[in-house]
Parts: sequence; C-alpha cells; structure tokens
Amino acid sequence: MNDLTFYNALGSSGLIQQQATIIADQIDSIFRDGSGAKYENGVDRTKAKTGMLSILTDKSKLVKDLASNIDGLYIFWGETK
Amino acid sequence: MKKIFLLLLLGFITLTCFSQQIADKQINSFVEFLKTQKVNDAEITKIVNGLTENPNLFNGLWKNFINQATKSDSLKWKFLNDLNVQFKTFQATNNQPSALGMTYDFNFNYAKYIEKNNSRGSHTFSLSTKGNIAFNKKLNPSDFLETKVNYNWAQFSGGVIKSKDDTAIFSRLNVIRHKLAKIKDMQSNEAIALWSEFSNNLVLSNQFYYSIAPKFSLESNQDFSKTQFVEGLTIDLGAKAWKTNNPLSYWNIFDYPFALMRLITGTDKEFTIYGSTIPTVQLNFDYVLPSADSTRKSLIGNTNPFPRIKFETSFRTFITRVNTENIFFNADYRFYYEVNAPEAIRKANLRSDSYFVMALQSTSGFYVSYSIGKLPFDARNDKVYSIGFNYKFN
Repeated sequence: MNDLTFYNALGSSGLIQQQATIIADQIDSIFRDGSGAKYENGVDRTKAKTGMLSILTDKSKLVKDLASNIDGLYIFWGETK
Repeated sequence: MKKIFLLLLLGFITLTCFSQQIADKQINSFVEFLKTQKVNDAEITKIVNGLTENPNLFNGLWKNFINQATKSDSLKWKFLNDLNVQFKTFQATNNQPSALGMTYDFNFNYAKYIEKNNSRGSHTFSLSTKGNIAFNKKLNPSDFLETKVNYNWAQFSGGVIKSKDDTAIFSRLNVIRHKLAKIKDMQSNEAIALWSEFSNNLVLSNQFYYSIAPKFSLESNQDFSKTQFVEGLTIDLGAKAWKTNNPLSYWNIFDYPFALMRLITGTDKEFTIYGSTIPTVQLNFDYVLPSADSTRKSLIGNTNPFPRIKFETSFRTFITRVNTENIFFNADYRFYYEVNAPEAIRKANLRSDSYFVMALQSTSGFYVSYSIGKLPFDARNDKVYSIGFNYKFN
C-alpha cells in the first residue's frame, strides 16, 4: 500500500488511518453510488469499511490483496456467481 | 471462583427455556448412572470433584449453552456470537499446582450509519476485551487482561454524484470494465479512450470528511524512562477534489511546484494541480498525565497534569515516473503546545515542540530525507539529512 499516493509513511498512524478512511469511503461510494454494486450477503457498511481499512493501512499489502478483499464484500453490477 | 462461575453459568442457563437439559444430562444423569453401577457416595463425590477440575466439562457445558442459546429466536443472546470462551488448565512455571481457568475474547462492534443523497454519517463504537483468568487468583498468568474501547463520530459528504439514469450508466460502466480487463497496455489508444469514457460516466465530486473521537494513548521516550498518559479529543479534517481542474484543487498550494515538475518531465500534458493530495489535518486537544518525567519534575517540582494542543498535517504527491519507478514527495509536520505552561517550562523552551520531515521516495525503496525539530521527550532539536534504500523482502 505504501506505493500508493494516499499512503504517507512519514505521518503518524493516526494520519495514515485518516487517509485510509477517506479512500475507503470513496471506494465504497464509487462502487455503490457510481457503479451499482450491492453488499454481499452478511456484509454491511461497517464490515465493508473495516475490511478495506485493514488492507489499506497495512503497508505490506498489495493492490491485489485489496481487490480480493473487495471481491468478497460487493456484488458488482452484472456479476454472476 | 470456580463455584461462582458454575452458579453463574447455571443461573444464566436457567433463565432460558433450554438449559435444564444441560445440568440434567451432564451431571445429574451421570451421578444417577454411577449409582446404578453400585458406586458408593464417597466415590461418587470424588469422581464429581475430579470432573469439576476438568476444563472439558466446562467447555462442554459452555458449548451446549451457546448452541442452544443461538438456536433460539430471541435476539437477547445474539451478543454471545461475539464471545469466545475456552476453559483450560493453567500450569505455573514454578512448582505451584495447576489450576483451572478460562481464556476469553469478546469483540463487540456497533455502528449506526445515516446515508442521505450526498452525505454519509456514522457513529461507531467498539469494545474488545481478552484475557486469561485462573479461578485461583494467585495463579493468574502475566497476560492477564486487555480491554480497548473506541468511539468515533464521522461525517462524509460528496465523492460521487449519483446518476438519474442509473441502469444505463451502470450497464455501460460494466461493459467498459470488461473491455478494459482484456487490455494489457493501459497506455494504448483504446485503453485511454475507454478510461476517458469511464470517467465521463462516473461523475466524481469534491469529498469532505470530518470526525471527532476520544483519544487515550501512552507516550514515552525510546527507553521508557519518561512516560505520560494522554487522554483527549481528536478532530480529523480532510478534503479531496477528485475531478481534474476543480476549483478546490487550486487551494492545494503545496502541489504547485510538483505540478510544474510533472509538466516539465512530461508526466502530465497540462499544468495540473492534484486535488486528491490536499493535506489532511488532525487536531488533538489533550490532557497529559506525566507519570514519569524527571525533567518536568526537576523544573517545576511536580508532575501535575496539563492541557496540550497537538496539530499534525501530512502531504504526499506524485512527481514523475522514471522507467518503472514512481517518484513521490512526502512531508509531515507536527506541533505540540502546552496551554498555560508554568514559567519554568517556558524558560526551558519546553512549552512547544515542532517536528518537520520531508522525503523523496521511489517505489523501489530509494529515498532522500531531511528532518528538523523535536518531538516531546526528545533531548534536543536536530537537523537530520539521510539517504538510503528500503528493500522489500517478499
């Protein structure tokens, strides 16, 4: 994650958490409001944001880890199981 | 303690319609069975006493209780899904006898979200507690108890503008996504055209974020010879202009020199200020309890609590791409100010501390950094230049 523009490793953990929270909210908005995605069964906004934050604040995680996590949280428009 | 727990568990159980079975089947029935086998009363007492020292009995009772409770339609036992309890035998490292006890882990999260057309608010509360308890308190292990409580109120607005014709937009975005997934070169004309269409269909807007949360923390120097407990209130403020050339992005004055560098190096075709890198701010109103601070004690003769304001802001932006390397600029500034500081603290220049650090960093790990100032508990102001390389072991 620390190769992405939002992750400033010089900031305190509080600032990194803050930036990750803003990004998680924007991702959630883009998926649900902008692209018609719904939460998977048993997932709500709390679980979706907590799930994304755990990846976004971990500098060792990769974008593919975030993608995999997100895939388990949302049913995308036109997605078939 | 063990008896109290058994009574509590059985009492808990008897409040529900199903629990009678547990006691009957697992203890009383067993006693009856022993009697049919002509076992005398003294022997039965000895066997039962032995059983109550066995963690498996308690684990069985607990498992049975949880299974029955969570099967019921009532929501009153729903919180038990968040509670993990396991009974075990504790063995002390010295020659003490082993003791029955339990380990528990409870996580409770509550969140209330209020979504409106263009804003999202939340109250979140979480309680997590875990630990190990021996029923004989003299044998409690060192990792005894740990409890954390968090509360946060947050408000977001903007980010994405909802389309009136959702179905057509969503379907088109879905088609574009599928086409993009098959393209390997994202710099190809086809990919660029698809991304352009994608961003035209997904209408982004300015995003604002603010939150308030109580704060509890422990500050110390590196050898823990000076420590202080800090409680207070944290206020987060953030804004992002996600759309290119949005007026809000022009307020990101820190990005102007980097926008120029991106233009000169050809990274951007136009002079573009990034509204997504507007610095975010964190304000703390602290009440500091200096439990071990020899410097403070020698200056004012006590370690009484004092109010403090802390300000922190950070900024990171993209500069350019060299071959496969992305180069970023990072900066962070922290300022601490003691409110109504005593005269001796002011004269010793300890009323306020500030720390600034900036660095150029590449994605492969190369960095050049410069820092100035000091944090609370640092001995002196320092200017530090450094150059180095971080290697990622995969």
